[in-house]
Amino acid sequence: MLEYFGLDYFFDNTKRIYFIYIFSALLLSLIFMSKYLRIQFSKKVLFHPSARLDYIYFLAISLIKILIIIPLLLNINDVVLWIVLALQEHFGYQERIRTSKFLIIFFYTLVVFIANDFSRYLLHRAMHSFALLWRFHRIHHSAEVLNFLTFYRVHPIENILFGLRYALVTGFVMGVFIYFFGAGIQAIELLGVHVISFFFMLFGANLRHSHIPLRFGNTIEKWILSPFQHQLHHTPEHLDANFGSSLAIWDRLFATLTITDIHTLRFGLANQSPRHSLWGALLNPFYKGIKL
Amino acid sequence: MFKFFLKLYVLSLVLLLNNCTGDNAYNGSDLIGSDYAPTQTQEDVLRSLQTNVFVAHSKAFVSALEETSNHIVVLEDNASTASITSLKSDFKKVMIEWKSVEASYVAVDFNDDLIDTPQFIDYFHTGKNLDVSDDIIVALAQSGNIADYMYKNSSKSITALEYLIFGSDPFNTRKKEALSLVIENLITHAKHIADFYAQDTQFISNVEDASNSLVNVLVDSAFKLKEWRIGEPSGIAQKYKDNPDASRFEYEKSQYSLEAIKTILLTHQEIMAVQTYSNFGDFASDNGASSVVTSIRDELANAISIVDSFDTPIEESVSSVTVDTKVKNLYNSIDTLQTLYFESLISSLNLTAEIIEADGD
Repeated sequence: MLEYFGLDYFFDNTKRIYFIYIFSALLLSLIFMSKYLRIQFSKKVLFHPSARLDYIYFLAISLIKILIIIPLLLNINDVVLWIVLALQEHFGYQERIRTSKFLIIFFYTLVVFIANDFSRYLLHRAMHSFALLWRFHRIHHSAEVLNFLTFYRVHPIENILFGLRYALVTGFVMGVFIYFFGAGIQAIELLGVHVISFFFMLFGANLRHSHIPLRFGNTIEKWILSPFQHQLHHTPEHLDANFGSSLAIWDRLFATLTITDIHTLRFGLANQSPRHSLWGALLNPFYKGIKL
Repeated sequence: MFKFFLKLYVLSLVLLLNNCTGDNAYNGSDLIGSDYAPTQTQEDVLRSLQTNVFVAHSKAFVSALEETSNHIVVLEDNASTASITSLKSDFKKVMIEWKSVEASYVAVDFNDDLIDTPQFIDYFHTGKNLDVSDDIIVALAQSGNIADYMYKNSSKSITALEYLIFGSDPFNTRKKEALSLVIENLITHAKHIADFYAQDTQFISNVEDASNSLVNVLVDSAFKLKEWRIGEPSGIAQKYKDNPDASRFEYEKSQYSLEAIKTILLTHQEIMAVQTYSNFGDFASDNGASSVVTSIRDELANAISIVDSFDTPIEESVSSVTVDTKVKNLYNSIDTLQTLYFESLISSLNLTAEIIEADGD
């Protein structure tokens, strides 16, 4: 029953809000940005209408995911099978390349992470670039205060698109690796999750949606996006920058990276005052008459 | 204060990561198990497979070759038809045991010295544009040490043995020398394999490696069975689309190709189907893959029933213009089988939790 309201997310290490990742984010804040914690947990932020929508939206989207989205999603196993069989049909049978098991796992771990990060960048950028997709993505950007649950303030259509992206990209990478190396492909994992993702989660990924402007310094921020850089992306002035998830290299490559020292950030959409209603968030993309 | 929290953070990380070796650590996937020493039950299954399949067939292969060798030694120069018939029967035993060894050849993953051994034994589909019989004909026509003329690995393979026994050249001392040379070479390689399986402890020591190796060998064997042994001779495979040619069958000279196909399928059954001993099919079923294992078992039974429905050698079912429907059905059945093996491989992968939250930001 817990899963219908997303409460299991706090105890599921594959989820962004797994209690250890939250604990780690809070501890990092306490060490480096303790004064901002007061802002994050102030009544003004905690009980802001935008935050209240985030809480309700999280419960609603958890239910929607289980009842509607997950059954609709492409089965990643099917994608892997299609890729392996398609490669075999078009390029012939590949005798398994026998090499060090560690090397295969190491490269798979790296490639699947990079491919996922890059495809997230592309899809995220597309959500901003195409008017039709922006209709759905603006729900996420309508948040005027940020908290750990804002990550889940995403329209179900966007959930489906990102789910498809994950299935196609990971399925493709896995299929190619199986084609060349056979069985035994797996990523290096910690606590049952991809090791690189795990460390990104541990080192403050939850702070991306918060009022705690943790920075990594200009040099590192050219390679890895800091929570602050994502917070910048949530300001109306920088909506067209910092689309990446973990790596900053895609933003650098496509000239969308912004590293700046602005201190006061105002989140939300330009020239709009959303009502922060659940029905508005879910239905506005389909009918503009329903206010966001 | 800052230092205190920093220490607290580092300590938390250390405790957290230290815990990763405990119950929360990745425990692998249902079918392939994981990279840890097997439980007693898992070890029993692996040991059972090793004993009943790998060791049994590799030993039987050596025995069949030694028996053939003994028969060759006592053959007279002008061997009788009965002796030749007996030799043909010996070849069938050798071929059948070799196909069983080949279809379950996991040794390649546990001993680098055994990677090329199958190619020293069997030349089918290995050499490009090389007709083994041409070299044998030349060697038989010459005088002098036969080994000097049959120096290539291909000339000492089971493919060469088939030509020597089933070829039309008259039986004489020269041919007997050639047969002995081939058999001795095959015995040497067969013993390497049999000795390895008899002494190996690696296969049963790691569930993940053993499972991966088994899935790999089944996928590989099913593909080669489908494409090389059925698809290419019958013109179904893309490579020879609509260009059937019975001479592409594996044992075209002896017309034992159907027996070879059946042996490979029976060996797959030994690994996957219900047997008197525990096998990989039981292991996979018990670990959440019962649905795909049932499908594999059904498809294996279906393929074998198609093989049994042939009244004549499969070579006679394929001409340059027509192909018996049974051949196409057999191809399709093994195509399904290979897809099922891939499905079992993929269903065993831990794909759901690799990238935390696939959603965007």
